[in-house]
Amino acid sequence: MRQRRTAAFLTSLVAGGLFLAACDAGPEAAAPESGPPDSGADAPASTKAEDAEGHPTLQRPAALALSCSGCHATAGEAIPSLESQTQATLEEKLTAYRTETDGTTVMHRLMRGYSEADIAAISAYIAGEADQ
Amino acid sequence: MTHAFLPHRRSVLTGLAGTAAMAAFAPQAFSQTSARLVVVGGGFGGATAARFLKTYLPNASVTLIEPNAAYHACPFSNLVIAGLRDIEAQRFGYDSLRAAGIEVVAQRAIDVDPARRTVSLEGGGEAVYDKLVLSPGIDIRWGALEGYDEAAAEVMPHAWKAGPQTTLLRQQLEAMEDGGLVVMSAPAAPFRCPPGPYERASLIAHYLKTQKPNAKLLILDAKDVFSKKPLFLEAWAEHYPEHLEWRGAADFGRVVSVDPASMTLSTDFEDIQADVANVIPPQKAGEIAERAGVADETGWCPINGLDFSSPLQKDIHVIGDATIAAPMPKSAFSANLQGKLCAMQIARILSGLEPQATVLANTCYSYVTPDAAVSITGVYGNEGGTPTSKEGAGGLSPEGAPGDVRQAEAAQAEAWFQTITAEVFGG
Ligand SMILES: Cc1cc2nc3c(=O)[nH]c(=O)nc-3n(C[C@H](O)[C@H](O)[C@H](O)COP(=O)(O)OP(=O)(O)OC[C@H]3O[C@@H](n4cnc5c(N)ncnc54)[C@H](O)[C@@H]3O)c2cc1C
Repeated sequence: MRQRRTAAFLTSLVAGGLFLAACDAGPEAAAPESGPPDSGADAPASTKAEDAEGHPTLQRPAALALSCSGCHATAGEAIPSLESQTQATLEEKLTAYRTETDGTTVMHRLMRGYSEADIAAISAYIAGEADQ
Repeated sequence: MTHAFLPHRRSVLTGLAGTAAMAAFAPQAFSQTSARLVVVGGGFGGATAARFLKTYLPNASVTLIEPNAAYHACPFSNLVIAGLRDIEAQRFGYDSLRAAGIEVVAQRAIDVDPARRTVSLEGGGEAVYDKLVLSPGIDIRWGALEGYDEAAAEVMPHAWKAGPQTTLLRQQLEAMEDGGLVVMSAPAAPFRCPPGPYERASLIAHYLKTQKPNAKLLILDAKDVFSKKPLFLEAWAEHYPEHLEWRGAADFGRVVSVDPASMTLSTDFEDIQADVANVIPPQKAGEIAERAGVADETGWCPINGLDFSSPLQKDIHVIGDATIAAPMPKSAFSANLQGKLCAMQIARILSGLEPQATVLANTCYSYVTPDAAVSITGVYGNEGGTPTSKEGAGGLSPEGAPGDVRQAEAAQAEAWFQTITAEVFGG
């Protein structure tokens, strides 16, 4: 399945409420009332694992992109916004940082720590073009 | 639903889950865990963790325990000390976290019982958790530096937790006569914000140079090597040759005792009398970490770098300055990222998935003048649970770079502060 998301995804994470709506799970889970703590295991682990496995926000591309959102807002000049950038553009820019040896910005130094595959995954994820 | 916070048994806000506008994500069971998730400490690490836990697990009850009604951010507080920024610009409240459905409990956590999975609160109540995230930041090791106790800090401020201490140091600098001597004592590693003392020194020197040209700042350091040293030395030689002197351990820079009554800082070599003394003392993980049994003999908390779980106690995760996560530094950037990652891994665990290795970054800017900054970056892997630096990545801004590179980084620093505080506290 191919999920189409916008870069506003990062914003929606910021504005927790919005994303909360995005994660609407319908009716409330029937949780046991009180009782001893049991690690929140209110559904068989297998069912939950299957659902979660297919959930893009818990996968490696999303984890890699967690490092981006503390600096890159939806609007920005000194630090560019990641909004409305395609996967191809992002990948090209991030790869250029990695290879420009005379670059002076933090991104030049940071991107040298990422593999081509990671750069592709981050780009796809932020552009909202990640294959699940 | 069960609730983490027992005394009032108030309902967490569930209404927000009512809109199905972006139902594309609807991951049924995944988002339905009703786990009780408790976070202690509403700073860069804890407030982030709480927000992202609620984001990943909207049906979980997320409780944030933080005694202060508002948080004062340390990043950019050195500008306040230098008179370049209002302390109000450092202040962030918790309303946006409440609006996101997080129960914010304005109390101090005084104990943790890992066997019963409870956090006891100063006011007498208890919070029960399935997973606990501790992000208590640092506490001062009172007395570790001879003469430096809580009373001494009212005379010789550390200003290493932002708020009244920041304002106190600012007032002392303002009240000082031109011609006075400011002395800063910098600690041995590990401590919060490795480049922080030297950014502060730069900005204090700028204040002296522009407002009190006959005054001087002396840094007495317990180390010979410090973060971004070549860049700071370069900036100090260029901007503050008359106003700033740094003395490392090899030159008897290490302060061994202080006497607030006489405003004296003593090294193994001499006693120095200061007009203003900023003592940045030895530190440890916030005390609640010790109470919870997640700190080791160093006073800091070992963690599994995959999910920031404590190897010492089940179901407790520790993030931020309190952790031993080196080579990741004790920075707001790291605390924020660890908060996000820890929340994601807890969501995975509660969804029946294993925590997954990833790549983590860090970037810290330091001002060297009000409109020039330098940066340090790092990239880390966490395979097998041990944070390790990625070879060939990260490092410092170039030495000898033209002014526009430094100015660009100052502008980026400002943008970073706005973005990260909005991500954590809402903006
Ligand atoms: C002068 C200075 C400049 C800095 N500049 C930068 C910078 O430019 N960039 C950067 O990335 N980092 C910077 N830092 C570092 C940054 O401030 C810390 O790394 C960051 O705050 C760590 O986050 P934390 O969540 O671990 O701790 P904190 O942000 O300190 O939050 C801890 C919170 O826990 C609460 N708490 C503690 N004990 C309890 C308890 N028992 N019960 C309930 N609540 C409790 C406290 O009230 C506090 O709100 C700077 C630090 C200083 C001192």
